[in-house]
Amino acid sequence: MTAGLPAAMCLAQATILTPAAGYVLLAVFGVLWVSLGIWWGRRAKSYDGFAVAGRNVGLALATATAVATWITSNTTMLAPQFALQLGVWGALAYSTASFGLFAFAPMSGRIRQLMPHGYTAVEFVRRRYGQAGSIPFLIISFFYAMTWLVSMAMAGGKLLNVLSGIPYEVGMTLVVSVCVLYTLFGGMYAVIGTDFIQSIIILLGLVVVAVAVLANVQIEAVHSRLATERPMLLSVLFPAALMALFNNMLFGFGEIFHSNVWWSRAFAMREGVGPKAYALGGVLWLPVPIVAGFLGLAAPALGIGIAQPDTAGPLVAATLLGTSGALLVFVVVFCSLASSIDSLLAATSDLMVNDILEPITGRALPDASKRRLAMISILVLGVVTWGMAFPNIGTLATVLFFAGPLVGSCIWPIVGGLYFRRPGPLAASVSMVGGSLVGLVAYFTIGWFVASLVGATVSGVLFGLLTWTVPQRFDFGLLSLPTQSLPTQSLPAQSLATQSPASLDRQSTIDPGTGQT
Amino acid sequence: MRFAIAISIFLAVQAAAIADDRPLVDDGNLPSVGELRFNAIGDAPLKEGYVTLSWNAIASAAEYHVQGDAAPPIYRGPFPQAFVSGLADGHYEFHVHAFDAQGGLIASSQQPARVVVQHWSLTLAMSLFACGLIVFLAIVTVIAVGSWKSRLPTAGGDIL
Repeated sequence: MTAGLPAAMCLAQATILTPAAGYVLLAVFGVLWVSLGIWWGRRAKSYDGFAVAGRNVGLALATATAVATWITSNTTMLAPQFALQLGVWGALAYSTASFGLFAFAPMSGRIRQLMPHGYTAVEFVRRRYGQAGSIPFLIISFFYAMTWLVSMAMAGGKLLNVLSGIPYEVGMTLVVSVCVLYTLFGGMYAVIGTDFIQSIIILLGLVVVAVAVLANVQIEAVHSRLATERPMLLSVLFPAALMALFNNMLFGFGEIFHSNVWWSRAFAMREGVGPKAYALGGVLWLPVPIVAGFLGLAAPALGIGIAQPDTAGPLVAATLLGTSGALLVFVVVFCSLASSIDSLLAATSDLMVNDILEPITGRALPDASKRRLAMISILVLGVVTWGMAFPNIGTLATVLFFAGPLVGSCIWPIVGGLYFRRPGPLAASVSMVGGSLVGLVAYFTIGWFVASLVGATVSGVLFGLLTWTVPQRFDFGLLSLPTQSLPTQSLPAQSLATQSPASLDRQSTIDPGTGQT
Repeated sequence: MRFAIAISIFLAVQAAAIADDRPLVDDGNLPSVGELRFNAIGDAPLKEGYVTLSWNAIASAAEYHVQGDAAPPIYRGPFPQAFVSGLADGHYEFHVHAFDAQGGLIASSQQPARVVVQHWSLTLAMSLFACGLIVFLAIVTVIAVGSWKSRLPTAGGDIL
């Protein structure tokens, strides 16, 4: 958006922090995260340690990583944008993303139980639905991971530019480089360890910002100014905002249900920890976008000029609180960026190793090879993200919400496949492809604020119809087998009509709750 | 570990190279004073009530004001770009003025930016709202029933 404009030049004269202060903060936190990454990385001696932290993460670390990962740059920068674009409804719409964490809480326990040796969400879909389901799912997962990564790299560049005048390209490069480095050294141990510290910094910082902003802003004045100049931001019957409410909630469902960021944490958590950690994470996360959203609504009343809506939150907080506020916002948003970028790098490298590179070789790779491939994948992802974020095209919302209909169409195949035997490959693949296509049509013909909703709805209708008309009888015990023990690399669900009596007999001995024979 | 150290050195060198190459301020190609012109925003009505206005930058400008129908400027800031939102149905005109560091007016737009706002129909909005509510309730129900069924010792979750 700012490419070709002299905005950055103007900012160099008008920012609250000096570029030197920005570079010092970047250096301090960059060195801290990389040092901690190296320290925790010493524990990652095996691929299991590197990818899923030894599958033994306790409640405190698990809750912290859920909160820190979900408080992304998109929470601190997009929530104010939502409020500024769609008013009070917009702030509420963003907070509904916490429902995704609540809904995923019971699912995480089921995932851990069904797949004690699992690494990725794509692995689940491959075993559950075969190649017909896993190919569209892998494409969607990868596309979403890249859009999320790129949107956060862009957010890093914009944040540093707005607050300190560091050129977008330099700031974005430094943020991505620091995250790549410490994830490279420490894998999931470093990601979860730094998430713990980052979540504490983020939550404390947001409390301070919220208290300080409320002390400086009169809510009556905000309401009065908005009612006069921007009446639709307060309107209950704001059409686009009404459409966005459930769209954002379903987008959050789709993001969490399908993304390997959340699945890899479910695998990393100790058995029984996942449901509590995700529910607690949702409770802690819920007020964050409401606080952030208020910053967006306060901007017009405070006379703060907003050039790009996704920079409204940091700009308002920093303007209100002066240099110390700018420092605080800088640290909070840098932590929220890092906690999400590292998670995505680690989880997406798992996808590349387990669902692309290992299947290509056609054999189970040794531990050392997988660890090496994971590091190379993290590096490649970092370079590709950097290349895509460099042109700074579009706002964060337009970049991220393009993936909305795709992830929305994954909700039903995941939920249905996790709990029920009858959904099969046809229902999964047709619902994912059909929901994505119709959702994209809605994205272009109506707008980003309906795309996930339309994708999830169409996908649900197709999934239900095809499950009803072409029922299968999946053997949940196949999900718990180690990779080497599988009869084939990709085993689709068998149809009732084609199953052998021996196979049906075997299924009857499987505990439906645990999937164990 | 050696591989990671090599990569870290490579990344650090790349970042340093980029940092050195880019000046913080480069205003060599901007006019010091002149006419302000809005960039085209299209004729189609805005259905979400928000728009980004942008205009040509002036090097000596310290601040721009975008003026709508109301008395206080709807935007005051250093960027040659303004985000305006929350507009109700209707026709709007905006003007932009550039001020120098001492607060003196140095340029103004001669032609206003004209914007027409016509929101989406409430029928469509309420239909999609209801649709979203139904899908949300269906998902929650399926998860709740699935979790309950999966804990039963005999059932296989075959309700679909």
